[in-house]
Amino acid sequence: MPEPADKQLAGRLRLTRRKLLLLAPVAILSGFLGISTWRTDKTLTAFVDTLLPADEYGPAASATGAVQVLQSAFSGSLARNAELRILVLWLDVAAGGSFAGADPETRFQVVDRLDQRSEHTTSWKIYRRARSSVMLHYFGSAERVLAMGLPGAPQPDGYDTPHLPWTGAGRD
Amino acid sequence: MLIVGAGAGGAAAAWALAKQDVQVVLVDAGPEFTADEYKVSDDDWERQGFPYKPGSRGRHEIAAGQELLDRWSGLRSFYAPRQRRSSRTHRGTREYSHVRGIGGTTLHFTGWIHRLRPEAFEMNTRFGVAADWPVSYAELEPYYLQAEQMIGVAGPATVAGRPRSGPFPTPAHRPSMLSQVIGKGAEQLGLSFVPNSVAAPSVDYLGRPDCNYCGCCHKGCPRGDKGSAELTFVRPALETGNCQVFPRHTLVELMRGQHDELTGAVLVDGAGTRHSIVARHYILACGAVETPRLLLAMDGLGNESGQVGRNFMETLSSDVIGLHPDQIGSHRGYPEDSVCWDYNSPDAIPGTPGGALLVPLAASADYIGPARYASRLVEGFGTSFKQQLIETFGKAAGVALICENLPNPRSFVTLSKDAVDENGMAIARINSFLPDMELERLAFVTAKAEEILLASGVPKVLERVTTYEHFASSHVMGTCRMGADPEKSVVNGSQRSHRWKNLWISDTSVFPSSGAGEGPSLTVHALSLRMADAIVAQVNGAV
Repeated sequence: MPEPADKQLAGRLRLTRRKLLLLAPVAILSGFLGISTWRTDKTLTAFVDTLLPADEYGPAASATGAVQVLQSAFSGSLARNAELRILVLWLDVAAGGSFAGADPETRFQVVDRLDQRSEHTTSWKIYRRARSSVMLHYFGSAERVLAMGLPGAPQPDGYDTPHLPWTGAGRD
Repeated sequence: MLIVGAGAGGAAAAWALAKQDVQVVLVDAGPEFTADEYKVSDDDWERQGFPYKPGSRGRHEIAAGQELLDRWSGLRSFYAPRQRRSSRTHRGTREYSHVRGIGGTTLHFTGWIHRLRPEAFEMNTRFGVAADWPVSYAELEPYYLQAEQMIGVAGPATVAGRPRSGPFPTPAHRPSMLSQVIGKGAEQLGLSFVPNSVAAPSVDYLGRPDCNYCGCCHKGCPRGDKGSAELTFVRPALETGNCQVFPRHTLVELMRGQHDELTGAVLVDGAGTRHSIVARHYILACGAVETPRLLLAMDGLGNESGQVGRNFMETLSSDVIGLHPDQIGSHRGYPEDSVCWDYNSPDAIPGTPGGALLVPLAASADYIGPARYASRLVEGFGTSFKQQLIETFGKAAGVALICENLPNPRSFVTLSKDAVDENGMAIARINSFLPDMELERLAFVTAKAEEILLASGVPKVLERVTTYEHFASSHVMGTCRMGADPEKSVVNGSQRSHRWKNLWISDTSVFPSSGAGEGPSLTVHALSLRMADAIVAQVNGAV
């Protein structure tokens, strides 16, 4: 009898530190050789858009340049670059081969499992760094957060009545 | 008169001398900053910090930190999400947070403007710790008042334990919602938060506008309401016509002459050109790291006592933060616009001499924009995450505290053994150690801060950041102690070198004790104004 889908997924997601260490040389080598850049980009695009999809609150993260921000955040050293490639491998393996090719529900489940992993795991730490970069970029635009109903840049207007309750929108 | 360093001390001294018709040359190793460099109106404002630029920070080393012990687990830092703790076994090193430039570190300070308590000047006599100041509160009081008037301090009618001969020049700011919430929590514990005295006027003052509560003081104030020293003292000094200011000029040599007098200085400008200058008096005002560094690097100038670099005192502090259930809009308001003085007296904390103060916290922990919330406080992802972010923004609530830090033999500034600056002078090496007495004080007040936060309605502390876990200082003091005894101090009660008749020091390095968390800049201003009078008296032959 076939395993339930969530159990299959759980099995794939059980990426231990050992498995990650085994994956690391592959990740580093692929970085050296520039292998699968196109595929990496597809996975990262799907990843950032799972984190922050297009919806009534704003555009998808990929449409704001989040993939480039992510790549930049993980550049500068082989070790950093390898971390990004480990993240990509983790996502692809967990999604059954291709994170980008998976349906939205599976992608959500994959990222959710990553999000819920122990904070002591390497994969979670890499995920948090990636997530943080994307969030800081996406919500670091005053124009975008204004569109969500949140206050934009605090100057030149400042805030008139900080001693009064905030209504949750606009300047005060 | 040559003044080296255009921060709180140098700027105030420049004005006080220039207004008495003394010709002043004020130099700083760092650059000038202009209001348009503070990018808090830009689309990416939240990702912009203070606009440091080449030369605006001095290089230094920080020696490896002490072992972190289990008994101080209440002082370990943790971070959102999940109250994550580091696995470090030894104290880490973050930074000595400072700015080199015209205005110095006041350019990015939040602007707490505090007098020290009268007892703080007698820590040795009264409590057997640190050293007494060779100046009393009463002697300094008129200078405190003068400095407050120059700055346009906004403050309440009275401040506990600090007698005043005149009112603050502008009324206190109305406490923000965050202050009100934290204040209510404190009340339940029998504590009180009262309006803080701050460097931004609450009404237009001497050509500066009133504060409009953007919370971005630490990124640099583009409106010029915050009273940083380039506005409050350098500008008036220039207006006297007796002061010239030269940014990007680094002191590399002070020449010793006969009769215990200095005979000249050598400065290097931003292009690398050397300039010689001869002055009647030389004032060092480079802060408690750079001033001792310069003296030690100049073959121990003024170090006859061996005390230069000793008695280093740092920022002993904690921040605790969580999410309040109500929408309080904590991104708005003057940061730390109220203060709890209940533990400020040197005998207020059980079992350890030295006081502390507590303030509300959100803006100074950077919780003033959605990006910080999204990356730290709000968990999850997807559309539901965006909804959650909208719901949560404005609810960050915290309490910050700074404690007294008493000097100890293992905390000092010396020279690096192998690292030099662009002029070939050894850079500073900061050695910091926190003995148990310091950690007991910090642990007590940190626990109080968490109690206050929980009593204010915050269900859980999500982040706790302490300087036990990492060395991180903005208030540094004590490395060229002032005192009456030439064997135990570097400068006398007028801040003049015990040996060199025309060498003066005017920054936090002269502090014999740290105070109990008060912002040190007002005391530096006041000391500098007093020192200027002493210099003029000496020039006029009165001394």
